[in-house]
Amino acid sequence: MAPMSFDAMPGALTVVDPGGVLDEAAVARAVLAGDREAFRILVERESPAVVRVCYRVLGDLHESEDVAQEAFVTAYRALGTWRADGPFGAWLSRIAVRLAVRQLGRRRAVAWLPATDAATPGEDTVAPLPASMSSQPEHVALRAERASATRRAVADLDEPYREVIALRFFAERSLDEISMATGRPLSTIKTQLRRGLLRLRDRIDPRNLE
Amino acid sequence: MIGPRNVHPDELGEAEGMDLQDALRVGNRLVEAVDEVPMPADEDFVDNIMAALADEPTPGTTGFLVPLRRSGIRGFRQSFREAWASLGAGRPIVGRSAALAYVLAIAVAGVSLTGAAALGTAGALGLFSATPTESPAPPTPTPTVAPPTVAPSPSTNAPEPTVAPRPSPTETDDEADGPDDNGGNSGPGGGGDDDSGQDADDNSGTGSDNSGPG
Repeated sequence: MAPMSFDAMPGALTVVDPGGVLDEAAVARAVLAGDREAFRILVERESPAVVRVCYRVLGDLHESEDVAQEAFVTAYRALGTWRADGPFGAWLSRIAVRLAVRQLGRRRAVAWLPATDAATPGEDTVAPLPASMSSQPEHVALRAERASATRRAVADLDEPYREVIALRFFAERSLDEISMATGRPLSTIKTQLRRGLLRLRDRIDPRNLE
Repeated sequence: MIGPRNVHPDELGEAEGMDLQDALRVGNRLVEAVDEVPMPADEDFVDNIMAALADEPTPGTTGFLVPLRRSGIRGFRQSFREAWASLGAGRPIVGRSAALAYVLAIAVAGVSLTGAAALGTAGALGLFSATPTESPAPPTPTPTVAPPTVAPSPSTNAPEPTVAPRPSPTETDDEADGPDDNGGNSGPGGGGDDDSGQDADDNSGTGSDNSGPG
């Protein structure tokens, strides 16, 4: 079946309100009514954020784009379950985080692991970076390694702390958006964020927190 | 890219003391760690996603009914195809259940219509009005016990076979000595006398007959 486009249905769909804000619920209704091409609006708007959050979990751009594409396909299939009581991007980011963490687990299951990937917390901590040496080129790789260790530390958290921290720091979502996307009260999200950060404390080198 | 904001104490709920300070430090460390991500998305990225969605059925619990609503009966084939595609993994369980029920209902209806059409065709061809043929049904033992019946006995009035009386030869003096011929034969010496006596009588009889015509 050829996908229907907005040009084929002039005036049939209004997705931008007078204030210029995209009406995500209207777009979702159009997609659910069979207008597959309407989903392109959401893809164009959300793809940078989705790729970004996947990259922050995985650390590989090519792999992040693959996972982001999977996230959009998953979101398309499950669009009927989106309650539209929060931003579409937050709901989509939640899907992307889940898929990225799963992909990270697959990669770690099949890849050669460096010595820093040992399971013991003491060996999985982030190495400290002296501030006076941070601008030197040889320390760029060290900073990348620190970011990688931070990603691993977040990925090793248990749910729901991992999800809340990933949405807050990797997807850059506010706690209100996380609350709406997950369906949990705001106070619960705050508690989970605090406990998740304290659990991360044990995995990050204390010298690096100074 | 702006990057994630630093953590504000209000975001951590009712934390106090060292826990609050540690959580803030870890949060700000996370902000630093993710703040250096380059993010140029591929220009073909959106087109690739839309191409991946080209073969996807219409989303939603009853999204496979959209072609029916839009095109009527002409969209039935597309509707069935989308419902079949919705049975695959990676889709919400509610939508998969609805699609499965839809496919099964169509399958049952199809089988029923095919059966009815076959019966109608057979009836139109007159296959049902032909001479009934006996079906080779296997003999099944009947559970009923037959009542005992008395077999008719042969009547006692039936005439018994009678032995025709044989003309007894005339008794001789020799026969008076024994009860019968066998007994006479069993005798050591009298048998020869009996035979001779009988021959003499028979020959005399026949001789007299032969003498008549001569």
